[in-house]
Amino acid sequence: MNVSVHVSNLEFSYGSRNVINKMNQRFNAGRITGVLGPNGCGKSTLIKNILGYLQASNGRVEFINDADALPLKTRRSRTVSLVPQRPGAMGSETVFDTVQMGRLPYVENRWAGYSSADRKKTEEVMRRLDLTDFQDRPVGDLSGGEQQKVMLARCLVQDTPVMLLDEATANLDMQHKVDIMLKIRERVQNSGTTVIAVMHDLNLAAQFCDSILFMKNGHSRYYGTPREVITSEAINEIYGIHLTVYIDNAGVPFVLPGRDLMIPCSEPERKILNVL
Amino acid sequence: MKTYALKKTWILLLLVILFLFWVGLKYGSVPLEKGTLFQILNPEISEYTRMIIFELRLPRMVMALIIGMMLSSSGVVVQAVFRNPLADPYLIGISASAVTGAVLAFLLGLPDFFYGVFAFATSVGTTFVIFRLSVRKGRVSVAMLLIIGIAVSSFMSAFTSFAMYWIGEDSFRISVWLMGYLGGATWKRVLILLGPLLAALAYFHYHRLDLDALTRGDEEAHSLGVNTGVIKKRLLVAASLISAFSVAFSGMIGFVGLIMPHTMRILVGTNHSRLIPLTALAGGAFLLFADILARTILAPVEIPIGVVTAFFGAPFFLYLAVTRRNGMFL
Repeated sequence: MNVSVHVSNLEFSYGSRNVINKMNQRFNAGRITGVLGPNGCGKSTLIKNILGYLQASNGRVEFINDADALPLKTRRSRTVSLVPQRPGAMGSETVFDTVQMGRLPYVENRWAGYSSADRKKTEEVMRRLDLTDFQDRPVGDLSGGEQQKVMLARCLVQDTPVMLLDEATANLDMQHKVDIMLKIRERVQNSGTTVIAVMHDLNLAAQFCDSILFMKNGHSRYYGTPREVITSEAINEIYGIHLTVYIDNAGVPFVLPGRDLMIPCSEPERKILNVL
Repeated sequence: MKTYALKKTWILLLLVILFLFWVGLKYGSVPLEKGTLFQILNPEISEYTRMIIFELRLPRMVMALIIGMMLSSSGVVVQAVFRNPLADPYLIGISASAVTGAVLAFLLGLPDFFYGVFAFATSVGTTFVIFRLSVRKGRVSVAMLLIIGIAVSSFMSAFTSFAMYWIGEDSFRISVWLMGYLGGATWKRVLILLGPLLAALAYFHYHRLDLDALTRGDEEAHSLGVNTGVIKKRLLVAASLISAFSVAFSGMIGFVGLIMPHTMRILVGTNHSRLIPLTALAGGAFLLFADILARTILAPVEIPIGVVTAFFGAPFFLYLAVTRRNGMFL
């Protein structure tokens, strides 16, 4: 099932501070859309609104089934899942139990608990992500990268047509960043999932996302393919810094933050240019 | 590599409880003759011995078991909802208001029985008031709940202290209350407590999967389809109610609701389908143990059971906190 997410006229405020301002945006199925922008631009608030955790004061978020163009009727927790930023705060639950939690939206009878089908699905996803060896260990004993993989596994077990990533790779080393993004790509290719990923790393986003959305002051500012959107002008407007955008052999844009502020010279003499 | 030893924990706990029952029936302020315990069913045993065993020791031990189960299981739930290992039912003002109720009954010159009734009524009343006040935009704000709980506790304690000064010498009867007392156990009281305990355990068990999800934080729990606002509130009310029952029947017994859930979480993990029953058993066993000590160490004088639980509980808690940081979800 392909489901696209339509955000229309969305407004949200914490007290008197408007965080989302009349935002209109469509997130298409079968694509990873990277949502970028400076801190406080409303990225995470947008995610919470799509999740239904926060209630918008105006406007709405709709999940449209691409097959018949009608809004989806299934409950939110079977439509959209979340990979949060920080790995679990508690740590004494086992890896298996944590991954199996993804089946909670499908438990109809709380007395009976998880079914054997739920268990099977959990085991299958854990095998696919190479987590089987960890299954009886407390989550807190794993490294940050492994913990985030557990979160991804839970998300896959939840098996929703829309997946939200709230800075899911922010605290990970390169190897785990790439590993997680590749697993998500695989999922998008196989199931046509709609992925909305809040990210900070422009280069990672350029490489793994199909579309990039730059947010500013609580609404969409630039939207398009990485090549179209990641430009010096856009970065200057969104982040307020001057950066040269390079294009690699595969045509993917990349940036070297700070590069333009340094004198190009040999290592020990590297100095900061006086342009600020 | 660490995994949890579940089967062993179940068996060990049941054996410990059986052993404690044997010890507790055998020893007390009045010593039993050798071998008497194995002849309980023998009709030749004296009426006096029979009474000591069946009407004094046994109901008291069952009561200790039940109160321990109540305090520890409500502790599990409160800690999961607050996502804080230092939370316990007493934190949200329950104990302080219970004591105020008891003091009020005393001031009104009512018989002892009403201490419990008043304690129960005031703590339930305060629980609801605190919840009302801490609702922000339709959901219970944990921060508000704690702040209001602390404020209410302080206010209630101030009232109690004032009353105790005012009452003067007679206030020792309230002091007993402040330190916990299981001496009033009868089969009737045991039966009254059994209902709320079983109902609460069943309710907690029903929500075990929601509790698992709640320990991951509100946003994640919500994304897994848990109606966090409503469920948190209901669970906290249920936990408060059984704490109120236990305070009403046995006074303030500290540390059980704090350390038992915490210890068991380290030993068996956070999966609530196992954590809830195992913590209840462990809490029951701990209180049973504490009560046996309370009535035997200085026999025939009895030490308040709250003193024993604090004496063993506090250092043990400290030991756990220092050596096993893993289970602390701070």
